[in-house]
Amino acid sequence: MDEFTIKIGVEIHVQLKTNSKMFCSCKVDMSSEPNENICPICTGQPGTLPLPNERAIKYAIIVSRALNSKIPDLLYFSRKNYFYPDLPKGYQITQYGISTGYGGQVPVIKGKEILYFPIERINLEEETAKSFYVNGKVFLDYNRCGIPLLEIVTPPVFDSPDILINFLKSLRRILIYLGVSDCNMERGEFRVDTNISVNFKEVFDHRVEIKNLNSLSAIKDSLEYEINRQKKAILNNVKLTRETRLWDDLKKETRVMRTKEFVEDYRYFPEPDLPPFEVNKHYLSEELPLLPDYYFKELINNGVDPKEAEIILSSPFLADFTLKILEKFPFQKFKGWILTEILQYIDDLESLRDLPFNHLDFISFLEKLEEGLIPRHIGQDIIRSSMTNRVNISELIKDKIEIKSVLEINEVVEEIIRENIDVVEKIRAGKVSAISYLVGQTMSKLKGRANPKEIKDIIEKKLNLK
Amino acid sequence: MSLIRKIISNYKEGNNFPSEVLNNFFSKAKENKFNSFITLNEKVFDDADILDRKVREKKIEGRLFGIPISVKDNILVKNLRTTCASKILENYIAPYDATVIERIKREGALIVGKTNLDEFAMGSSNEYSYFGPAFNPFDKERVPGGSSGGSAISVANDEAVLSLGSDTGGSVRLPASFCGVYGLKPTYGAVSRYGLIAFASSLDQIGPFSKYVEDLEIIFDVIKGKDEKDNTSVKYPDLKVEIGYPLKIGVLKESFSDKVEDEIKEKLDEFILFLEKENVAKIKEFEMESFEYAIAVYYIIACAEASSNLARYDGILYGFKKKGENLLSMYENTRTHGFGEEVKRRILFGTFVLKSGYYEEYYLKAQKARTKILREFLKNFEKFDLLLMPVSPTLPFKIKEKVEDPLKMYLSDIFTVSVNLAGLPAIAFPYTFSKNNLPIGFQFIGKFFDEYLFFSLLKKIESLLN
Repeated sequence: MDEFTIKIGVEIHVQLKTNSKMFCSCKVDMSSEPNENICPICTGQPGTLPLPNERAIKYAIIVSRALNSKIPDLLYFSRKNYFYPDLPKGYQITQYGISTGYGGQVPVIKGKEILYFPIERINLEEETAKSFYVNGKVFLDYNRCGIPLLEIVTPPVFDSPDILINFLKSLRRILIYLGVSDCNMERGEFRVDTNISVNFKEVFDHRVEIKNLNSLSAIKDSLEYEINRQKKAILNNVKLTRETRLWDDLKKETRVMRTKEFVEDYRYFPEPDLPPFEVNKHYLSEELPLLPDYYFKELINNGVDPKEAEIILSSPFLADFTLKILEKFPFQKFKGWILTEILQYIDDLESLRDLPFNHLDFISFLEKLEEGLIPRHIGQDIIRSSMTNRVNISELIKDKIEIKSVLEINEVVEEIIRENIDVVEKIRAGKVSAISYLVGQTMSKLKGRANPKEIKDIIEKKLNLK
Repeated sequence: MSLIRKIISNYKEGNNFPSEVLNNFFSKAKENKFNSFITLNEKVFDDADILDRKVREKKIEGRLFGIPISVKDNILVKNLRTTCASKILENYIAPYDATVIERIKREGALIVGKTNLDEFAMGSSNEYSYFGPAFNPFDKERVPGGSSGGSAISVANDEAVLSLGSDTGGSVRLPASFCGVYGLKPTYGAVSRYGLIAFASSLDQIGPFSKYVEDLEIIFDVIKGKDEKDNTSVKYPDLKVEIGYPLKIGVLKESFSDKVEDEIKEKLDEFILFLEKENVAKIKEFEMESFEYAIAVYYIIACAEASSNLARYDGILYGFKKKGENLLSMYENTRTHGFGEEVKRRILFGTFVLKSGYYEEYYLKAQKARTKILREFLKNFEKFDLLLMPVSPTLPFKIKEKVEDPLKMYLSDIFTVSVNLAGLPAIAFPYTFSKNNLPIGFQFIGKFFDEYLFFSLLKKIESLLN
């Protein structure tokens, strides 16, 4: 059966996180009421002209650089002509003939390794309006129309759905680290169309494109379904054809949307409203943020388990935070505090951008635990209180275990000795282990705000045991 | 001689009020003897009232203070209907002001109304208008020229002091010449296209009409210059015009070919003799190898761009809509019934030349020829300060004479289109009249940003001729 070969490729559309749209100054905000963020330009009114969004161009270049793509010196836009209600101008301004990025690759984490998968091109373009289907009627929200969109295309190099999923996770992570998109799949900020052909010995041209994939599991399920369908067809000598199929996430099956007998001709030509422009040299030299593969290598080198590393990598903030802690403490000493204690209060790890405390606060928290100044259960209380009330742990530590001065400790110790003459007698008689009882009593009177070792020393001194 | 200065100085001396001057022009416009207007701006008298008050308060400010101006109906004036002489935009109310409109309003201009044109500026006779043809004020049986026929008529017939039109392949110069007024086609990018309904984006330029060359200079001063809303607009260079007479002027050899009517050739000879006698210019013939290809190149590029620019008129968001049983038939019905024959012809032609497989053969080749045309012009400017040629090979022709023969009609533009392809400035000016009292005029073509050279030279010629 292994004589089947599987070739999968993807086309990814990423909404860029800019303040305004690609060719007008309308706000990018899909949480607004429908058709609130629109203007004459993004609704294609007669006489309007596009104005390119500098930040979007910068983001496209940053992504191309991060993926090691080649960036031409001169860029221009083209028009892709077709009719659809979500496209008010009757054409989409996109890149054709020239791309912002050519080639390049995505470092993909697989187990302990990093594999590299190629990119074909990266294009900057504009979004279309969002369509809703209610009771057989179509509604259009032009808030989405004109949002900057990055199109990332790969060659058909993936031989299993699993490795493709790894690729997509890695790519998303990179885009999130670059800060160019939130890549929220549910909100449609990161959309994937796949193409797949299963071949048996001979190679046929029956590339099948799959659309309507709204989650990673839909991508995986649809590809698995399609692999089975194509294998069965080959074994039964049923001819496979080039077509586009739609994934039905409820029925868990793909079905034909259109065959490729009719190929749409988009009549591309260079956008005459936007002259070619040189790539801004600053965008090429500006320092890029550190990327997930860097953090991954660092974490692994510090003995972090690959699975745990992947969890930490989900948030660029957390990855950075963890590396800073690793400079002071080995991972084993604090991994429970992060992976179990802190993360239990985080709903969406990817959107984790800060904690109520910085790495210095957390390091001093760990030091106090280490010194025994904070008992474990108190530490857990501190984390819970910090995370749920968004209060700095340093504040809580001060509050909970404000360290008593030696003088205060002395006073309390004397009191305890007076109250426990019988125990003192036992100790003097040789039952040294009873000291810990006195230490415990002192600690509870001090509400834990002292170092037990120090208390022990004081008691021993008072009883002339040293 | 400047009508603008005369009117404004009358205001300053308290001889007239803007509403009186407006009324003189407006009442003629309202007669609409030559069908020059599609929509009159009835509310303009409210604006004039405000200016009247300013005259009383002696607060006369603005370079176009109280000057009645008409605007071609493919330039958006906020809250006024903008039809483009098409059924598809018959009831379209402009939601914003074009940049040129903002600029003339700021200087106190009074907008009389919106003038007739060939539908979407596609035509040379103003016969292809959904609102009926316009007529030549010198002979009602003849065409006023197109596409800005209404604009030229409104100035010739004192329905406005100035008019704004647009020139894609001669649409300002041809009607100016047929109606005996001045018409300027500025350097591409010198005037913002924002708010001009696009026909062919890489060729379109807004240009003014006037009876006196000085007035043309005044309005050009107001409308020229970089506009942030138009990416193809440029900063107009600060040039001092110093003319050393006699100028070296080249006259195109084809001006005397058998394609040109004898009377025009005779008058051109006469004009050349006049220039030499007055020591204004030394004139020599020049040749242009690419001249004979200009029409073909022009129609390929103009129609290709038009096919895309007019895709937005689809019945979805605005404009005429004719329902159908499904989306495709709605598109078909809307565009079949919404557009006129000439517009459809050009859309089909433009769609054809952009088809994949034909793109290289037509569109790309035309672009190469376009570069060649510019190079040939620039080579001639090494020898000459300006170039001279007729605007049209014929006198104003009879209505219906060419309307059934598009190729014959396209040849009306033989002397005008190459200027648009090269992006150069050109000015049509009135010279004399034919035996049957039809205007005859010619055009000067300059290097980029030679507009002020035109004005200086023509002011001299104007005074010499009077």
